[in-house]
Amino acid sequence: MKKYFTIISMFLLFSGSAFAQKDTVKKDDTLRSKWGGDYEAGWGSLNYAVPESPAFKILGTSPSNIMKPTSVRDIAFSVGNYFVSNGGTIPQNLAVEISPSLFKPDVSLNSFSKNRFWYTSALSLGTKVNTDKSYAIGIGLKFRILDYQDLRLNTKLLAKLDAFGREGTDAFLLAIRTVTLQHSRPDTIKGKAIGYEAWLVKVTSAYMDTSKNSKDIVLKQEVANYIKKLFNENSVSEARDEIKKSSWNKTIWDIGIASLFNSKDSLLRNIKPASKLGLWTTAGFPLFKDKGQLLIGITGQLRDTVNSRLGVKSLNIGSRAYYGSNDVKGFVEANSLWQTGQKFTYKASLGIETTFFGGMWVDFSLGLSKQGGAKAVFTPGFNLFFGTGEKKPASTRM
Amino acid sequence: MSTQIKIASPGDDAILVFEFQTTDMFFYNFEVVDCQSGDQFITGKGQWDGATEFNLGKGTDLIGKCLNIAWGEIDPAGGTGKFHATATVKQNGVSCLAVQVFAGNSTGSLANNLTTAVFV
Repeated sequence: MKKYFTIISMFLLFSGSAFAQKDTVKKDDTLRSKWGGDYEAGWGSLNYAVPESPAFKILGTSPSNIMKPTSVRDIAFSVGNYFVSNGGTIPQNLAVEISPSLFKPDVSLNSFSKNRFWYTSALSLGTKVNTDKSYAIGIGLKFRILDYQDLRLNTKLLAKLDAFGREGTDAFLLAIRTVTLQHSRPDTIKGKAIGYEAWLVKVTSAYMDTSKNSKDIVLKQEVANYIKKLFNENSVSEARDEIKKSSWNKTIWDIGIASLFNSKDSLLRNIKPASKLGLWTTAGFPLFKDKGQLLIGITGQLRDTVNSRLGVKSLNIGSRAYYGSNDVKGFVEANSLWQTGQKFTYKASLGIETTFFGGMWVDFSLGLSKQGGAKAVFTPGFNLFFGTGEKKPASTRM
Repeated sequence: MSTQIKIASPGDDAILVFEFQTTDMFFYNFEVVDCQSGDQFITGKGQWDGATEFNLGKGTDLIGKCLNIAWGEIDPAGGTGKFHATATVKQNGVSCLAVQVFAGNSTGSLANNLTTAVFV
């Protein structure tokens, strides 16, 4: 029960930070008509699976050696093998990954495109309590070499937005002009002073009036009806959702490095030199159109033993195949591990990955690990991930 | 009282110039019309990465007419960045003292508005 309480507490804590971020968005002080709902800041971020960080991987709490890549999150938390390794109510390991966009939420498209490498890189920190109650601290850096998942880099979506912007603005002016002419021409014929321009201001003001008790509600409705004939007001939302559905498995390639330090307590001065160094690279490719994804990952590590400093070398090559949708998918994984002074190890696992509450992701797996002629060992995995939730338009928010 | 665009040099052409300090997607349509009847004399359109200057013709022909600019904006980066664009009528490179500023906070939706002015 306490474990569930901890998970829920962490989720609420993290949700709070996401909401706090939302509150910093200033309201637009310009009166404008907004179509298709008013998105919050960060609408370019999608609720794809939370990416794994090098600092998380070097803690060694996750049974998989593949560093899962997905489109960048401003901030993401990872808890490895919670139910398996965690005896207490407080997680015994936790990693956090931060990307520079967290500190610059107002980044423009142009700036993002020019500095894409910087904005999609991330710094990660992780910590865990070792079995002897000492602490391990991981520090990692991740670089995104390729990313066809990010909305901000999606040329198809940008082309659609460009077309919608032109079509919508055409429709807006034509609707205002048509309704204005319908009202101003009879007025002119009657010889009244009010002409096209005065009616134009009146019609525009009526359409922009957001109050429910607008006295010119009929004019507002006339403009809205005309626009609807010419332009689908939900075009932007629909295009985003369509791209989201088809982009979760697009090609992506990450490289990450990390170091692991140990300390007998939580004091910084007692930290010892790095006892483990790791390099990860994972590439993801689409499978079965938008139904699957293939990950291929390579991991190289150096680590200390009792007798040698960073003397043990290991190389892992693995692949994971997903099938399903962005929100729920199953996977199979296979790994081959070579290690200095050890026999060759095979690992295979089956698992499922899904999301709850918008920003919380879990992956659960059951695996078998076999080293040389020894008996196979059962290796369960249950990883928790928390990322900034997806921003939706106000009209569709639940 | 509506915004006035003072034609300083009636014999010279007036140029409508759009300038952007924004990198968001910005779109505009404009019309020069008879203020009473709404008959259109000149229309045009453009966007943030397209044409930015339009010749409206001789100043004398514009006096008494109205200029309406409809504009739209989308922030495709999903940030909270402010966008800023201006439309200025110039003659011989000199502003006719009517600068229309379009500004606000970006959103992921299409936002539209319309501004009006009269040539005097």
